Amino acid sequence: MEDELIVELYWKRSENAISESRTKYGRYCGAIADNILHSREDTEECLNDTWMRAWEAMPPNRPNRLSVFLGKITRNLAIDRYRKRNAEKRSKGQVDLCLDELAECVGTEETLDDDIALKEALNSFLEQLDQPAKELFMLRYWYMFPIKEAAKRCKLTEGAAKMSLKRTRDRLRLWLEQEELL
Amino acid sequence: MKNNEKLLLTLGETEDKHIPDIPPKKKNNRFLGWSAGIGACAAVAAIATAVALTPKSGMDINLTGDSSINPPESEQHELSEITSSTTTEQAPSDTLTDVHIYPYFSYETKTEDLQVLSPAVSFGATGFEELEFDSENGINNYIDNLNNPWTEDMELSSLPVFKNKVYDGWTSGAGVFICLSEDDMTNMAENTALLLNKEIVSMQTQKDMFISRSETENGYPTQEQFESAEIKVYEISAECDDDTRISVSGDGSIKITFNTPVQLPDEYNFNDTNDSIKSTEHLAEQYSTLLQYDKPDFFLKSGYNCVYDKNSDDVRAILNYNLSLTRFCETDSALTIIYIDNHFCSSEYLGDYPIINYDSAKQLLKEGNYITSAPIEGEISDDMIAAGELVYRSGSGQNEYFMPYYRFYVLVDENNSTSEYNYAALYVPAVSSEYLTDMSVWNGSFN
Repeated sequence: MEDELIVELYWKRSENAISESRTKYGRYCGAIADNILHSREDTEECLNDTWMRAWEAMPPNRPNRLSVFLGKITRNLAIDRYRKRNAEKRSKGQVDLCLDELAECVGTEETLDDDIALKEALNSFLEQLDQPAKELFMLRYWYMFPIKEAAKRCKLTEGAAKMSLKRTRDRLRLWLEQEELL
Repeated sequence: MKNNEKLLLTLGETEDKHIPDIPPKKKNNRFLGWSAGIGACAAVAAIATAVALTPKSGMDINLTGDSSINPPESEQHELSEITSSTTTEQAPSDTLTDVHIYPYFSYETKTEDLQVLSPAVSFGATGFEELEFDSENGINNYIDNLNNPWTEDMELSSLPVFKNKVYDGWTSGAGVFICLSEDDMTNMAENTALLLNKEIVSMQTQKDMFISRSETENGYPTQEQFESAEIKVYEISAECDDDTRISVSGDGSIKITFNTPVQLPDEYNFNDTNDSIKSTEHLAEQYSTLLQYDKPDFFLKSGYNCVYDKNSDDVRAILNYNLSLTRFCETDSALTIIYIDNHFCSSEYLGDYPIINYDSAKQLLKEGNYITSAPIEGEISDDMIAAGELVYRSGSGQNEYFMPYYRFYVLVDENNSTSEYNYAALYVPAVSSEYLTDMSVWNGSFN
């Protein structure tokens, strides 16, 4: 079913919106959740929460890209679930690895306090980034694919992907410094 | 919040245009299941398939004579007659032999005056049917794990075909899988609880629009049909006293969710194929009162640990394997969900149809007479065909009929540099061609 029709079902308050979303984007959102949670059960629960959040969000929202709209919800829910689940234990999941890598970029201080400015800076940074580097960066830090998986999707070796990600992180740090956010 | 955490979270809020689409194929070194074609493929080809039934003990199939699945006369009853004898007191297992979740499915064998099939199959919700392995032997291990009771040397001249009674209710945007009444679903939930030795504390119903596909144009309801659609119950959910939930859908499928996972003994795990089979055997034994399988057999498919009733009769075993099975889901060696599928309760027997043999199907495949959702082009040669099996495709909303196919696994993309082997699933109807009309040959394109 076309995305527009699925969104229309949400607006008509038809519960088929959820089943159609699950059918079309269950695997997509499941991949995002699984990258973060590494648990079939948690992933399933996260997906159920995703459909309910989508139900609450449409209306008033009418997303242009339903996949990304649902993916964002899944990502946020999965991270939230991950943080609660791992609050008292060390973990070696992709979230921790991504955080370690981003710590090289922005540190672990608590100085990034302007959410709106940070979001604008990130958007402008991504805007000027060349497409291959941006795609790899987002596969790693938005979808949180393992580096090896992200590299394959970009047709790079793992080593080349690591190098590209490091360069992008370095450029991001400079960008945030220029924006006086760091 | 730490800077790195803030950055990771804020990245999630960046503009949509910066977020790349991800291809449907996810590379990995293990079987990933059928890949979902995100945003692609509303492919509709020809031919049907589907879901099936679970004969109970006491049924009899005689292929040489009266090929029917019949319970003893005294045990025949309609679905609505199956009621739980008690829901307030847990009955000991030895008193549950007369309690069944599903009705007996029986039919008089029909081999003449068979209707010609002009079935439709949609791959829309399935996406690309491709398998990915990182070694050449991966496909063989996959086939071994399927443990299909069908073998090439079986001398089968005909196989049953069923009409999928749920198919008509599945329309784009306003379809639900319904062929059971609310009472039927309630009784099935109650009997499931009884067989699990659990007490139901509350019951909920889920309702949705129901629009018959046959009343729509190409499966798409009009605005008027949306607005005047009948509202029907499509699912019953029973909450039990121990935090277990039993959900019965309108097509007869059951999902038992253990909100408190059932931990398996230490000696059982799902670390590899052998351990998974061993653990599945253990679970089948633990839930034998629920499953009521006379001769359980086991297989692994798409990440599920599956069990079905492998009858000594070949046809019955094939039907059960494809159309009536139970899947156990685990996390960290704890049982979390049991799925019970039984398409017999949503099927109407049409007859035993003559079928072609494996070699004939393979020849048809090479001549281009197949359907698939995978983007495959060019001729199919012998060395591309890694394996084949006979299956009944299931999928309540995608198949007008439950009928046999030969499913071939064809090498479509080999990349030695990354040691990956990709196989597409190509289907050739097993039903003899004189009983098929309007069979489209999949042309490899999407939308």
